[in-house]
Amino acid sequence: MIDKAILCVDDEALILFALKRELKAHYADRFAYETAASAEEALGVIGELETEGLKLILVISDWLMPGMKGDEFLREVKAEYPSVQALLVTGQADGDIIHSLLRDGVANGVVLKPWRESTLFEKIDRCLESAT
Amino acid sequence: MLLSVGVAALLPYGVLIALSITLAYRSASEDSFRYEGARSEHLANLIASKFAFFSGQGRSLASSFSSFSAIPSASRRSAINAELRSVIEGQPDILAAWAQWERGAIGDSPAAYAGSLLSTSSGAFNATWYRRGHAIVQGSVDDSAYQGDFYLLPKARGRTTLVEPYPYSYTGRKEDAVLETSLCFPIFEGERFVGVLGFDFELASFFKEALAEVKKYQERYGMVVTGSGTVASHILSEHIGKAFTEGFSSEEQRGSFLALLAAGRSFTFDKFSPLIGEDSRYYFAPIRTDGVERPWYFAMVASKAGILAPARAVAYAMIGMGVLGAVVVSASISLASKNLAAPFAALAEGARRISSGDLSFRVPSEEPGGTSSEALALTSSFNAMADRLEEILSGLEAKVAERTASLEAANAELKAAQSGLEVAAKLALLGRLTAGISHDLNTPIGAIRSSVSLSLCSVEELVRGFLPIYATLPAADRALFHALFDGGLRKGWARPGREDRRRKAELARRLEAGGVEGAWFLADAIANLGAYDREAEVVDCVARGGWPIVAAAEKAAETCRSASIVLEAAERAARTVSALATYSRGQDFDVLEPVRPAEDLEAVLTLNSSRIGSSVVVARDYACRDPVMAYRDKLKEVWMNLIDNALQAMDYKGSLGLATSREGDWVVVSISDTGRGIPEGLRDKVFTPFFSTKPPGEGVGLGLDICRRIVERHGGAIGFESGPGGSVFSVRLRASGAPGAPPTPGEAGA
Repeated sequence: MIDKAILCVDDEALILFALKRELKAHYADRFAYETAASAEEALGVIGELETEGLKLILVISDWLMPGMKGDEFLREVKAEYPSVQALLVTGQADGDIIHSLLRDGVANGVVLKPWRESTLFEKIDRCLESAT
Repeated sequence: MLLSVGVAALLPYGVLIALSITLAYRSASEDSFRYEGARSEHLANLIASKFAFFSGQGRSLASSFSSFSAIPSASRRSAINAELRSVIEGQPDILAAWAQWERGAIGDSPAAYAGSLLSTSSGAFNATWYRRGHAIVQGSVDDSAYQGDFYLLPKARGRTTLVEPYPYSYTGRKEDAVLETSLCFPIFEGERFVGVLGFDFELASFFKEALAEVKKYQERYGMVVTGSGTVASHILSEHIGKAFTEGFSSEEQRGSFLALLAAGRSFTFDKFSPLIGEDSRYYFAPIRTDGVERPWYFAMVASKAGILAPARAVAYAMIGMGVLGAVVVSASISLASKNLAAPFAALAEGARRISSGDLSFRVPSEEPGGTSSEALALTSSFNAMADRLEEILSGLEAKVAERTASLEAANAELKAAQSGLEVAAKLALLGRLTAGISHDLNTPIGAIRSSVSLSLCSVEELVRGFLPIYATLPAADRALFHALFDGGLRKGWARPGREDRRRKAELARRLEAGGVEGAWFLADAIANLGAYDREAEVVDCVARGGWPIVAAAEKAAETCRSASIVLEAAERAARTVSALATYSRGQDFDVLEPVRPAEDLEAVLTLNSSRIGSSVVVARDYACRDPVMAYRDKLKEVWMNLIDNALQAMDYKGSLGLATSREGDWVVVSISDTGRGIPEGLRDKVFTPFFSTKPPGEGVGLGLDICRRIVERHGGAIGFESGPGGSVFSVRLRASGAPGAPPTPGEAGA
């Protein structure tokens, strides 16, 4: 029975679709996979997951999105749900932001776009290990 | 007897007091005049540093142009054109930036460039960008450009030249003429002169900071006068362009003024100013800049009474004290009976010492010899007066020192800011550019990489794992497989919304309650395949061990979707690259031709029919079929971008409105959507390059900026209205043949 969820947040439908497909192919029915097109929508989805009896264990979020940016979003998620693991996916490696997110423990890892499947799952696996 | 002694003693005292007042007054007035002189020199330096900034920028641009000589002439023309455009965009002070090349310097061809804004009628290369209101517009010039001082002088001198004020009209219409000056830079290839680069500045606005600084104080104003005596800037614009010497009554005055100008140093003279209405002092300070044989001057005119006001206050204070002193002295004399000579001799000595500048001198109170109370009173009031005098003068000195120091600090600050300014601006642009490009390319590349690697596995699994099973399936299961696959294809890759999520969660809970294993996973597959109506069949099939059938249908549908993602992403990357190329190239050398916007809108629509899908209704209202003269492909890019934006704004669901109409000389093309509208706070940013709200499915932050550039290149305008019910973008283009429209090819050679 599925009781854990992974949430992907990116304003690019292309990325969301590709990410979800990769996750599903890799982890099959170990998790439920959800997507959101903005940080604001993601916060709503997180709330709903609880009512659906799913425990959010990992958020994979883009950094540059309209509205709330990925770093701010992850800070908010971590403040509310400290046990949730977070991966930041970004096409613009702004060293300072990444460094401060990792240092503050807001992100548990960073994946650069375009990512390689092996790197992505290596980082996700590391997050999942520390989650359990 | 006593009275005559008193008068005799008072006389030298009075003379000394008057003398010291005169001396102090003169010293205070000199300080005031000197201070005003320093201020006008400071403002002249401010203007000089502004010129120096543009002069440095122009020189380095001119030398970079000659280094373009290695590239083919067509791309060289466009590279230069793009550079000029970016210069004027970054510098609001520049009214126009242009480059005029010698005939034959860059592959001229009247035939090839006919109708292009980028050449004179003989085909020689000219690129001109100028400001019209808030817009930056490409101008065109004819061969008369070779006759202007702005071309002939830098060519003859072979160095930077600041030309005398002249009227110029970029549109060719007289009423559009402005008084301007040009900072011109000759362009060389090796030793050979090949053309001139120029920055034009509007005289009425270029010096406004310096003039405003003077205007802060009452009874004074500023102006700029060229080395030959022409007023280049003035708070009253009607004086601009006139000779300054018009205000002189005699030929002699004119001559001596021009001689002072020619000397190139600061000078002052006094004259009645009709504008201030008082006798005034004129301060002329040279603006040290290159490009001129004789420096231009910044001039400050100030009422003398106004300048002297503080010094006069000092004098009045001293006269007051002098009278007080005299009263005290005469009172003492009338009362004193003896020992008169000694105290007066001491006081007289004191007054002499003070008037000669020894402000610290005080009359010792025991010196008068006797201890008469009158003599003591006299001494102490004399000393009190000296104290006050010293206090006032030292206060004045401190004030002058303080103002001088603040002027010096301002000057140093100015210099430091200037050198940092240019570098910082360039770095900022580079940073923005790199960030924008890397995002716009990495996103589609990421999607492509991920989609392709999955598709490889999926196809292999389907062929090796599922094909053998498929051969053994009963007909009903085969039919279910095909139905599920078709449903998945129809669904496309639109992202599930909140409603879809809710429906899926509900299904999952229902399946879970019914004891179905892997309920969430199955629900996800059903949602993914859009197969809610086949729920019972699917559940039944899975219960019979048919999970591979459902999984294969999902995998096959997703593989197809992945292929369309790759296509979309590649398209996106290509569009980003071509957007960048347009951006850096500036203008292609397409040919202007009559274009009917309605026809091209339809063409763009057809090209995009697969992306538009069935949830979008296209509402057409082509009320105007008049042609406009345009670069067809460029204009198509505008329609493509606007239609794309409209579709994204409403998530590919709603009504897309395409309309054309005629308003006077204008053909107006409107593209509307029924989407979410542009948030109010973002409305003034949408045309900014690299600004993007990145709605799902799109991320190019250059789209609207490019649209604006293209439309403006056609002499048109783009604007929008937006509300919660959607947005309308309107493009106004001059109808072919209307005044101000780009010329038709037939007219271009004329």
